[in-house]
Amino acid sequence: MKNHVLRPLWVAIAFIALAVLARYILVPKDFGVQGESFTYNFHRASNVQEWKDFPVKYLGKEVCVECHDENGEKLASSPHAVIQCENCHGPGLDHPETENPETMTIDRSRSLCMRCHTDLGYPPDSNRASIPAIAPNEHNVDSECVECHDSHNPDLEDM
Amino acid sequence: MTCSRRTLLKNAVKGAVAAALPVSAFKLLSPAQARAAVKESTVRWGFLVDTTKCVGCGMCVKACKIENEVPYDAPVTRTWVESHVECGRARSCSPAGVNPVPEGRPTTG
Repeated sequence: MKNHVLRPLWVAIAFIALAVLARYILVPKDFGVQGESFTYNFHRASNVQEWKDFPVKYLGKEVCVECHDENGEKLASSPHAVIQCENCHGPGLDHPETENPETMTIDRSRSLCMRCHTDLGYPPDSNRASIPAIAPNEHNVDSECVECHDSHNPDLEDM
Repeated sequence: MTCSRRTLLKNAVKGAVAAALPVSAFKLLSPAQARAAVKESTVRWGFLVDTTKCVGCGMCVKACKIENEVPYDAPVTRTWVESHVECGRARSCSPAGVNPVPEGRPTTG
């Protein structure tokens, strides 16, 4: 075969060889099929430990009430019983251990309340329709909700 | 009443499956109980959400971003809440993933 025909072939072979070499150098040695299933176990083995070491930020209500039992009991008997503390108070990672335990950023914003309490005209069979709702553009527009409402016991009877 | 061979076989299989499932198979275990019952390495965790209880607050989306250290305002997402825009009868609107949260943030995270 003539040289000018073979020349692109050498280029292609060189390109493939380069790709194979690059893969050999760049891909970690423990990357591949771990176990039997190709579909779910194609990963880097050491990555499993990395994710086990990844800190969990949300602790859950059960941890909060160990110290804040007063607020926990108040919340448990209120219409907000289903809400997790950390939804408003922020994730509790390192909370009691840090030098200043007052560092949790509490979200008292109107927009947080509006996530559930905006009147969206849902049909009556929707769970959303059973939540007390306001029109955010009409109901005390310039005030934060927590100025009048108690988030730990939002029952309108107790206001 | 006629009963074809196909129907008979179908019902026989259904009956066998139903008989093989004792009520105790549906018992809910705590994570600790599950780990104790099976060797830990063989436990496969699943994640179930009762969507009929969802009111679209989007806190799961926010938590997902915080938990996985994903930038909150960046438009990158693996969690989203499918919701509908306000227009009288909310459910009749096109399900374009328009967000009920007033500030207009997409409920994705």
